[in-house]
Amino acid sequence: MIEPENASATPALLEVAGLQVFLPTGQDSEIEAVRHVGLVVRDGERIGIVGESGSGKSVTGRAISGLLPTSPKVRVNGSIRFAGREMVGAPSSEWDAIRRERVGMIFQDPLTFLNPTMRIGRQVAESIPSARVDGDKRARLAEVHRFLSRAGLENAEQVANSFPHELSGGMRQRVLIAIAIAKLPALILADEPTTALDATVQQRVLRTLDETVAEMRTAMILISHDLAVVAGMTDRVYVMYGGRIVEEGTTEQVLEDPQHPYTQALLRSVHSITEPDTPLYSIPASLRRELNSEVDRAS
Amino acid sequence: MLLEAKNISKTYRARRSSDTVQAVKDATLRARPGEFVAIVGESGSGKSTLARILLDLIPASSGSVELDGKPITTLKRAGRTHYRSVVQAVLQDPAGSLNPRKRVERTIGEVLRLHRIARSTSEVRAKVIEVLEQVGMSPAEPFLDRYPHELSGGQRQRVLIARAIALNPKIVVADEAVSALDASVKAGVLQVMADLKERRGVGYVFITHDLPLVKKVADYVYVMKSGEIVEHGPTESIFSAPAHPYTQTLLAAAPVLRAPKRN
Repeated sequence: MIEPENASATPALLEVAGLQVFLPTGQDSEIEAVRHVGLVVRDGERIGIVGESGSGKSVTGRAISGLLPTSPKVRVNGSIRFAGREMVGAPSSEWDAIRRERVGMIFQDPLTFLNPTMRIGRQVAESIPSARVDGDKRARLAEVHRFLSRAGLENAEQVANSFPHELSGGMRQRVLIAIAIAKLPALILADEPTTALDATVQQRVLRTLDETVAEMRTAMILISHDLAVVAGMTDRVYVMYGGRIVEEGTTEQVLEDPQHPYTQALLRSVHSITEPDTPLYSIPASLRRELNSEVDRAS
Repeated sequence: MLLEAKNISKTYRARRSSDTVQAVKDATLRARPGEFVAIVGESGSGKSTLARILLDLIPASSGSVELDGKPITTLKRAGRTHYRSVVQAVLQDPAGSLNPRKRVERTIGEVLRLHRIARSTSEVRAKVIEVLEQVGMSPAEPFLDRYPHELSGGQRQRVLIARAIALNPKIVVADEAVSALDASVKAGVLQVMADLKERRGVGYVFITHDLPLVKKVADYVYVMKSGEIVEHGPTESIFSAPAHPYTQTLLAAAPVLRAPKRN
């Protein structure tokens, strides 16, 4: 891959620098859930953020999509730029516009994202910019069916007429993909998109996501605790621990030749059915203690 | 000791019609102390229903669960209490299985008192500390006063295992007990379980969809699909020569960490 560094003066699609997120933990206490995170996503590029629970990967994702809880106790420092436009401190109307037009989101639990009282078709339709169908009802409906099929839902018409609870978990996740791509976003943010699904369903849904994103040349941030998922879907990967990025590189580099002891340990803890008979590996408490003091020191 | 499920079926009636759903169809399985038995299959395969029947939480529609040849439905009250101490449950959602208002010491201490394993405060405390240390929460003292929300996911799951083994069970039925945990934490909890098998001869019926784990720890595997056990055998033969097409599909879908080869 040729790095387009200094190739032109156009700003990257997304540039995050020195991002800090403080979340309240009690009356007068807070934790620094995200610590000086920096990352770049260029047009059409796919990046992965991996880490265990509590690593700050999802909070980073929420910060990038402007979906942190709105409370004066939640503090965000640093910079999040979409195509050069600074979003930290931007009014919520600007975030709304970004999410409406530029960023498609896919989360782990589709039921919290979908409206249980609204048929699927209408929920997909809401995501299609009205300018594109010119207020024409029939054109809009055709678009709804087109995106549902594209997300791998064979019976698009029937799905459009269904309520979320009438669909299986895999189908609901495909509906989220349809909603996300219907706005022709520049970026798709997928946070644990298939974690709740069975392995065979997960495989199929990931393939659909992979193909659609490739066809539409959409950039993607894929957040997951599952290295196997990120490995197959991304160009570059960031590894997070304790709110901090401990390693970044091309996905190949990071998987084949991890530099940071945490990345090495994390990779070792992923077992597969094809590997030789090695014993179960869990990250030793001593390494975690070292890592904790490392991320604290760096603050 | 032998725990057997013999020709178990479970039928549910659909809510708004006379249709019936067969969640489990004619399933037979055996579990023994000191043996790690796994049930694998996807969601909806009936594996959790079978687990609940084994745990005597719901009745079977037909067939029987037998402990050393005695159907548990014929057991009197004392017999059932005994059954519920030798066959213990560890369920998936540690947050949902722990009372948020009880500290660790009380959570485990209550079952010790209930089953009359320890009585006085000091006896109970000593036993709680002992089982916490057995699941790797050592030193145990700092955990005694914690509430569930003050523990990590892996720690909560360990507390559940500690509570289960506190009753000196012969068999632990674990339904997706580690599925919600990170890979590394998962491995840690399983090491504890495997260790208890070696040291104390605990047997497991381990229900999961995580095949790499099964390959590492199980001695014997049952594969379930649509309520039926479609294949069973020693772990090695299931993984090296799966006979049923469904088992082959499951193995093919198991995640493998591969560096990307794109373009």
